[in-house]
Amino acid sequence: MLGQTRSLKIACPNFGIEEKGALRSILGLLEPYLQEPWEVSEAGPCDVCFVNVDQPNDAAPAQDAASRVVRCAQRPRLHPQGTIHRPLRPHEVLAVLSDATRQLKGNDRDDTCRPDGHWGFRLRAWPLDFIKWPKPWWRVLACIAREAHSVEQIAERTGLPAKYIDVCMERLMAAQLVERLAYTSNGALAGAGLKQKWSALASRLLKKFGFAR
Amino acid sequence: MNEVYKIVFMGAPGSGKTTCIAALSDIPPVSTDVPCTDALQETKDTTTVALDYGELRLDGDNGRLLLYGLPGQSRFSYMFDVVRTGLFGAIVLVDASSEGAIDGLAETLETYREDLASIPLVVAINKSDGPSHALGLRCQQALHAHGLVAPVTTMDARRRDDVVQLFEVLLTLLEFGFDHPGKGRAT
Repeated sequence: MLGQTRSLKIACPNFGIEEKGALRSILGLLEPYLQEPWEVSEAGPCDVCFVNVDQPNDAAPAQDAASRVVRCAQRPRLHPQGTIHRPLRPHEVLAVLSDATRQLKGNDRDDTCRPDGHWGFRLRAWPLDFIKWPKPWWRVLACIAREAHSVEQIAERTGLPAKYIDVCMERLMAAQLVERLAYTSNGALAGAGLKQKWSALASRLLKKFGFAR
Repeated sequence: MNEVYKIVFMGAPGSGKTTCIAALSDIPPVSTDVPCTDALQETKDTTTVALDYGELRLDGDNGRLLLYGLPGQSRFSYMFDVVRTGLFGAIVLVDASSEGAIDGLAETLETYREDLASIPLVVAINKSDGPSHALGLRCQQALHAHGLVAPVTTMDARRRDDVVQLFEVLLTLLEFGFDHPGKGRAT
């Protein structure tokens, strides 16, 4: 613990009420995965400040000089490295707050962790009711069953949109069926040829069984 | 082209291996069933003493999918050598009606852990009255104890649709989770 009795505070001064509410919901969802409790602060000093850079004309947020500023944008790639998505995504919030916790603890020695919040996810166990889950989510489960992959890698491999994968991840995290690991790219995704081979076999078999792809 | 692929069904006696293969095979399944002479007599008339074999012909060319049924017990582990080459998936069957269901699964996982870690694996609970959450959790615990992560689902081996659904899961694992089935290592 940080030796504090208070929760760590997040300021998001130029976020709308709905987005703040969404962040509170995300914090509730992430509670089991965070080393310290976090809360959205409406006033006073903060430990992390989320800034909506899509609203550059808003008044600059007053912030503690020691607080960490996290840029949030609908298109993070158009902004400096470290900018995360708006609307906020749980896995990115988790990464940012975990980094911030380590910094606040003066224990930021994990050089495998990327400052821009890139994390890999690995499945701990398949959901027992996975058969009732949307079939595209089976792809996500299959993708992270053996190795940790970032959302971007999962999207690349499965052909699913990142937002769709985020929803699946939220459900997995809520059920504590996924673990988050510092992600280091190893370029281990299958080559196109191999994937095509297995896709072709799967298509042939499913066609034989009367399933269209 | 004459591609050959293999899938193996494994499990304790009476878990449904023969039934699964019969549900899918394009040829009359080859079976080595003999009348039971031991305690199994109380639960079934015959049991497989070696292996079951069936075939699925793939559309479009001369490709074949070979279906094998192997006992899960350690004393039959030498038989896995017959199927190892070209194997791209395994379905381990668990007999929900058996008191020793988890012990049988644990023995199979213990015996074949290295092989099962390197190919797509599905654990299928058969002969269950309905979805069995408790037994599913125990199967997951057995998998976890052996360092394996695999889907666990309930099925009825007598229903072809259920067996086909197992295939769908297995193929999803193959397509999106494995680059080189059979060459990976346990985590």
